[in-house]
Amino acid sequence: MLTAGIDAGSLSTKVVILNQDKIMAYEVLATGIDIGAATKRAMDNVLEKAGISLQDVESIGSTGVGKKKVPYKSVQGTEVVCDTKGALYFYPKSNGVIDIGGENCRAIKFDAEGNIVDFALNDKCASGTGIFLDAMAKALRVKPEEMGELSLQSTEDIEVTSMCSVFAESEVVSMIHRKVPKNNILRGIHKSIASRVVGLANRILLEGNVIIIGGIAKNIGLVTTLNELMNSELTVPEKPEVVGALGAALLARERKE
Amino acid sequence: MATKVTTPGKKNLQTTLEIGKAIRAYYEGVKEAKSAGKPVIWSYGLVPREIFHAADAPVLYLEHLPLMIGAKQLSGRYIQLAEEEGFSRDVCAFHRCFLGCAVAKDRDPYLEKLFVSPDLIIASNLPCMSESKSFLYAADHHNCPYYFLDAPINTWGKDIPDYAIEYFAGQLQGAIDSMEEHGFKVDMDKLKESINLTKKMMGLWNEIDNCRKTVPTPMSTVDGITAAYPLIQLPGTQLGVTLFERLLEELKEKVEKKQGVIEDEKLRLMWFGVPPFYNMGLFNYVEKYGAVVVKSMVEYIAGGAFDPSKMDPKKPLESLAYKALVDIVNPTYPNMVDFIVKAVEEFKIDGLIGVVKRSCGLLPGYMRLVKDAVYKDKGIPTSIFDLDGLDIREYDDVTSKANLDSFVESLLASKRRQ
Repeated sequence: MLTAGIDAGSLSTKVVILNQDKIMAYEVLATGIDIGAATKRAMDNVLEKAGISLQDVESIGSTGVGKKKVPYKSVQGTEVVCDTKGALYFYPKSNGVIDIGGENCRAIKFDAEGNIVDFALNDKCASGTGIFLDAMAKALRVKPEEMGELSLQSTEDIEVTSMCSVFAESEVVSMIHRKVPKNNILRGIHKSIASRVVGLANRILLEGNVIIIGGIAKNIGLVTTLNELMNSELTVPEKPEVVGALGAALLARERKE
Repeated sequence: MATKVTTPGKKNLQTTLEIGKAIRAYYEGVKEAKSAGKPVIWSYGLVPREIFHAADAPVLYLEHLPLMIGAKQLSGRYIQLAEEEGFSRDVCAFHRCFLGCAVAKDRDPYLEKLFVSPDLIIASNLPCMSESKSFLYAADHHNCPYYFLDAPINTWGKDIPDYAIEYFAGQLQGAIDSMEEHGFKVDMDKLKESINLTKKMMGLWNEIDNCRKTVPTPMSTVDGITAAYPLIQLPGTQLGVTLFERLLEELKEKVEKKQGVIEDEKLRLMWFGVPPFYNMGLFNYVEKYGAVVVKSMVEYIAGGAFDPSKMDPKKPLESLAYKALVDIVNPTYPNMVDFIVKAVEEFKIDGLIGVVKRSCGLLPGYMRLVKDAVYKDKGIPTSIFDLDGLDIREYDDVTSKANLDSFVESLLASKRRQ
């Protein structure tokens, strides 16, 4: 059975094609201002990659903040449900997920059967999310994908104390003016985000086999800092940014069955 | 300040519409009394209101006016005004809103219909000390006398010791003396009678709750919050008793006919924390999943959870002291946490929703305790998220609904697996 999963996120749109239990193809692209158009583009690309047409897809699942604007008839699922399904697909022994998205961050605890035991979402504040990291990357004039490696070369522990992303940016700019090395600032930024995320995880007493997903999971500096603060070993799946979309596909398949 | 994403709650009961009319009539009465030259008191919803009814005193309550303003989506403007007066955003949103109303030079026509200036303020540290400080500023602004009722913090639970009762009864006597100094006459016979009426009201309230415990529930918290109004402003009055009698009658009929709030009740929820007064439709939002918010913790504050048998008309002040000190918001673990755990069981609740109002110094502290206790004792999960029930400027519709969607979906999935 061919199923598609769409994760219409605030910053990026992800589509996955699933053939039985195997990921055939996936696509990740920027959402921009038109969620419908972004989803369609992502779907066209992924269908081409998989060498199939939309008619071959038996069911579609959708999740993410833009799920209601997806231009396909789809089974809708919350991010909490889809993240859980996606996490268990990659790691059946996992019992929790930390998902750091563009504007959202969530921690989810579940049992072996996939029952959601507890979850916590960030509030409307952007600190602790991908968009915060993007703003910091701009302020420091580094590429987002380079932030992780650079932060690992830090020589001093510094604190970014502002909880508000706008004030944190001012704080970072002031550090740049004081000639604080970029590596150290980046380490401070990661610590700031990580402490927010850990706070969320602690709220639901999350521990054990936890996986981290979302595009931010590719940032080795942040994952390292999170591991230090959580005193754990978070697992990063092979395709952390498409776990939610995969979960949506699994949800659609379940409903179809 | 109005936003398109917020909606008023959908009520299902005839009596709650009547209670709505009683609320408007109450405010009109206060306004008319002031116009007729009678002095007006400002006080709190936890100061025993029976002493005011015994003096036929028109009273404006600090907690109630803001929620009326909030329901009309006007709270943001008045909260902003208080902030412009120098009150920090960390001060309780209710107090900021009330203070904004108190100092506003131009009031919306709706507020103008409700608002009267004070001739005496009777403040207290019950439920929280910041109320008394907010009122000090208001007393200064309106140049009126201020009396402070000191309530001991309940560290005893349900059995309040005699010395605490005596102490607070003495404080109430002081409030009565202050009222009499400023043009009010408290009729002690009427006060004794009001104790009987309060006792009767509480008995009816308990029966109303019993009806709501049935499956399907005939009444959601959208009606429940309006229905709790007589507990705030009408305890010790015949009108309060009459309204509860009618409500009980209506509910009994619905229970008999097995008429629920929604057709197919799948999930029963309880709300802990301040409800979104500017967006009561959020309670109805979950109904699309077959979920009903059966009960809300705020329905119990201001005298909704005491033992009526302890009300003794021969000892009116002691009875009122007991009622005030045992209130669930006079902080003590057994009175709040155990109470919620019991309510979760009795109302057959599947999930508890806890909302944190950051400017509240009282309720957020309970969240973790309540969540852990409800899960440990009853195996019922709680979802906690940020939501200021009064400050519409803080409201985030997408995040709030994402929390509700996720929580309700996970509860439904668990039920399906069972």
